[in-house]
Amino acid sequence: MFKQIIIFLCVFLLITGCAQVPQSSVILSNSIADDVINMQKAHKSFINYYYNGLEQQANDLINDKYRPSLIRQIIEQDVQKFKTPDKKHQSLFNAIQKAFVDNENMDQREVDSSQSNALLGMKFFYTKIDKKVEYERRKLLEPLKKQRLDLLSSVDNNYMNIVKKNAVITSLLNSVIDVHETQQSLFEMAGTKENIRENLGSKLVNLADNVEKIQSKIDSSSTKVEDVEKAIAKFKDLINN
Amino acid sequence: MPHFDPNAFADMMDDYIEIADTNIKQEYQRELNALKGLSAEKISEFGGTTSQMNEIIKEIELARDSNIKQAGLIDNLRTLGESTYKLAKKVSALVP
Repeated sequence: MFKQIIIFLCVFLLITGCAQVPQSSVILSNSIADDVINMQKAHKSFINYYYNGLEQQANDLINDKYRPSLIRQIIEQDVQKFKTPDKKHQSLFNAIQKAFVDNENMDQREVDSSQSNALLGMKFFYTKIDKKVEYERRKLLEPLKKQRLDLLSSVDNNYMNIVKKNAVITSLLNSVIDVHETQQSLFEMAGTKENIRENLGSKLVNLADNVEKIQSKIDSSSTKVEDVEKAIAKFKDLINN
Repeated sequence: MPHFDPNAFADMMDDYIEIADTNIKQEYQRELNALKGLSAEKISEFGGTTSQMNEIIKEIELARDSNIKQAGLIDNLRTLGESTYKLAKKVSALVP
C-alpha cells in the first residue's frame, strides 16, 4: 500500500511539476475570452437599448405630434381659403361641401364632375401628407440607424481584436505546457536531470524535423539493410549532436 | 364662381405643407434636437480603440508553432521506433 502511494505521488509530481507554465494559466486565459465576449454582448445591448429608445421616440414624435399637427395646419390653411370670398373656390372643404351637401341646384353631370374633383382633391390631400410624413420619419430614423451600425461595427471590431490577441496568447500557453511535458517525458526516457532543459530547447525543434524526415524515408524505403543502417546512423548522429 | 381644380389644389398642398412643416419644426425643435443621437466623435469614443499589433501576433504564433513541433516529438519518435522495428524484422532473423 505504502509503495502504491509513493508511486502515485511520483506520477502526480511528474505530471504537475513538469510544466513551468501552469495549466491554470490556460483556464484563466480562456476565461478572459469568455468574459470579453460577455462584455461585448453587454456593450452591444446597451447600444441597442439606447438606439431602440431613440427610434421609438422618433416614431412617437412623427405619429403623435408631427402628423396630427401637419393635418391640422393644412386644414386651417384650407379653411382660410374657404373664408376668403375670392379664394373660396380653391378650398377642398368648399369643394366637398358643394359636391356632397349643397348640390340640390346642380344637374347630375355637374354633381358627378364636382364629386369626382372633390374626391381627387381628397386623394391629393392624403397622399401628399403621407408622403411628407414618411419622408420626415426617414430623415429622423436613417441617421440613427447609421449611427447604430457604425457603433456596433466599431465595438465588434475592437472586441474581436481583443479576443484574437487573447486566443494567440492562450494557444501559446497551451503549446508551452505541451512542450514542457514532452521534454519531461524525454528526460525521463533518457534518465537525464531536468536542468538541461534550457540547453535542449532549440535542438528539439531540429530533432523533431529530422525525425519526421527519417520516418518518411523509412515509410517509403525498400527493405535493404543499407537503408536501415543509414537511418540508424543518422538517428544516432542527431541524438549525439 | 370658378370650379374647384384638384391639380391646382395639389400645387397649393405643397405650399401648405411647407408652411406647416416650418411651424411644426419650430414648435418641436427641442424634441427634434434630442433625436439627433451621437456625434461622430462620440461614436468613435464609445466604440473604443484597440491596437492591431499584427507583427507581435505573428511572432507569438511562430513561437507557438515551434512549441507544437517540439510537442509532437515523442509521437514521432514512437512511430519511428515502431517502423524501424518492423523494417529490422524483415532483414534480420534475430529480431523476435
